[in-house]
Amino acid sequence: MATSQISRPNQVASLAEETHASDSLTRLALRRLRRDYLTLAALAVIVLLALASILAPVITESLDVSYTDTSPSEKFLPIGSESHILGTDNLGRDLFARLLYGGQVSLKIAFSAAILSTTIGVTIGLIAGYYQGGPFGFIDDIIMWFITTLNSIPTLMLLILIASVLTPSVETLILVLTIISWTGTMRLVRGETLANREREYIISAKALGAGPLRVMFMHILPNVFSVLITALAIEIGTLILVESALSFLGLGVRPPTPSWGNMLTGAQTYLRQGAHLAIFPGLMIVLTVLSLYLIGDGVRDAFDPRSTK
Amino acid sequence: MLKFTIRRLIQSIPTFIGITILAYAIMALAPGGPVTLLAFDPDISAKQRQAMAESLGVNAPIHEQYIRWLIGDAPITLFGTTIWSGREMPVFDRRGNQVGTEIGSNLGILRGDFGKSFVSQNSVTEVIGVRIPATLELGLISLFIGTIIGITIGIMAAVKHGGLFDQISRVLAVIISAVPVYLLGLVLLLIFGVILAWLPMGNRFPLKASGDYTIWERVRHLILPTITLASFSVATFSRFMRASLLDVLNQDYVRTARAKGLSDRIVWFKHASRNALIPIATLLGPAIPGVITGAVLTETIYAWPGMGTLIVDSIRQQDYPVIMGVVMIAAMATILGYLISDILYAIVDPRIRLS
Repeated sequence: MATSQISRPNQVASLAEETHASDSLTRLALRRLRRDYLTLAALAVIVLLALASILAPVITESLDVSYTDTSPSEKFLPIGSESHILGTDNLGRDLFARLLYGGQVSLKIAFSAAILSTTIGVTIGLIAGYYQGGPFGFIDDIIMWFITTLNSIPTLMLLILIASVLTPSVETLILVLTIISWTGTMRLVRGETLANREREYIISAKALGAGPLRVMFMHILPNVFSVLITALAIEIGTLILVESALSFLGLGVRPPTPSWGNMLTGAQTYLRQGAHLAIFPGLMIVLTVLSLYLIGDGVRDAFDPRSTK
Repeated sequence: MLKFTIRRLIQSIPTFIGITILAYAIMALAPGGPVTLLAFDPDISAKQRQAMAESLGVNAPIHEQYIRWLIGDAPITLFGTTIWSGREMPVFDRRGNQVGTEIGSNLGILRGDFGKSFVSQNSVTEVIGVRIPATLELGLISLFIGTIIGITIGIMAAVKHGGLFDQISRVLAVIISAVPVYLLGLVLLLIFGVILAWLPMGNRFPLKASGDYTIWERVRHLILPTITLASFSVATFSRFMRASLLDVLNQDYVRTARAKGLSDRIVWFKHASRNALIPIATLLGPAIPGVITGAVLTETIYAWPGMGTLIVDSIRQQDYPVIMGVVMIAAMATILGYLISDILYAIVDPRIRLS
């Protein structure tokens, strides 16, 4: 009875090969993701929103609406009005068009700042983690001191401080948010580097003559990639929240440029006349941030070797 | 324990120094120094302006200004002996001519003196002092309620994990963390303030000539801001408590307790929950900056007269001494929060003390 497996060695070998090939972590993760409909739906929402924002000029033109044209006779039009699907705001501007252009601004700021800060965080995290404890350990000490300092000022306070000094514009906001947010990625990558640098594959790479840069970027970095994608998705979501909070306080994107955050500033004043002015930009923020968080979670689960999905 | 506390206190000194340098450096980049703001009056001559700059010390090099901001220019006396006689400051008459010198009176932030507000000319300590009770009231009540509700939900979700309550609480926690604080505030205002008109639209007290408010009047004003601010703590604490409790459940002593034949209730609440609370102690530290940040937005929406509205107003008026004061106090509260949570952790888990 027990011989049935051994008696067909060819089949065992091919089975082993097959499992080996399909068990590659990335491939396994992608297969899990393909069956994770919630994450896929979230991804679709983000792609759709990004497309709608990029195509804002085309869409608004075809609907014959504009995000800047004011018209005193058409203030606070309700949802479903003729020629204004989502109604108009306190100056008679089309809400739908403003949502599209606002999304363009909000998404641009959050994506740019997240990508910039992740790049900085990865680089510094790899360097600090790699040299921690060695003769260049002081690099790590200085960076960690700086980060502890930066994190001891509540984020919004620090943002308010910087934003009050710089004149707010889309570019300065990207800069400010980058300055604030690289520390999270850095800590993450530093921790992963610390955990990875003593592992056998790094030791063997070093033994083969790989220099520090090669070890950091060619060997350690690919191994923290899944963690990074998760962090990036969550980072973008958080940055959208932060940007909108700053804009809401009047320290972010300045009107007349719309952003989802500053569209809500005015909305509070007109809560009685037009509640939809507050609800739609708010919904857009929640939808975007929620989708990004779900993508982050989904990617983490997919790459988790303990996951049974 | 004392040794651990002292070590931890000493560790926070470089952080504090770092914060002062960072905050001062950012402020130094501010456009339009105090002189342009104070001397807005076009009748003031260049000479007077010069005198004003001189007496404010804004012409000195930046590191000198920083040190003056830290320690001030008034004499320092320690146990009755003067260890520093202070700095001589030039005195000018109204036309801008120097008429003599006197010892400065500014104490510096290390002695609790944040200077004077540009706008009201009152001392910043006073301006902030008036606002602190409002922020503490809202912050502490929200943190307390948020923690209690969060931990309860966490326990309930873990007890029946995988069940309906667990799923719903999980989804709600993710949704809440994606909702901006101010949007939640706006929606609550819309429902309870505008549509139902049950609760006031903002402020800490009703507008009245006399200063007597009934408890009910004050609670009515607290309800919406508290829900807004506490929601985030509820989401965080419930998730952490659930994870922490599920972790503990696999421990040997829980199995032992079950094997002894103890009832589920006793195992859950007496053995498991108490130990699961330990990691929660570390969350209380980071919760403090979270509450401060949330307070800025919550206070702004509900016109709550605390430090959050103060800093937002001060920025509109470019009142830099007040902004710096609020930022420094918030930063110190954060350092203190982390300190307390580390000490708490060391108390409940002796292993930490030794490392």
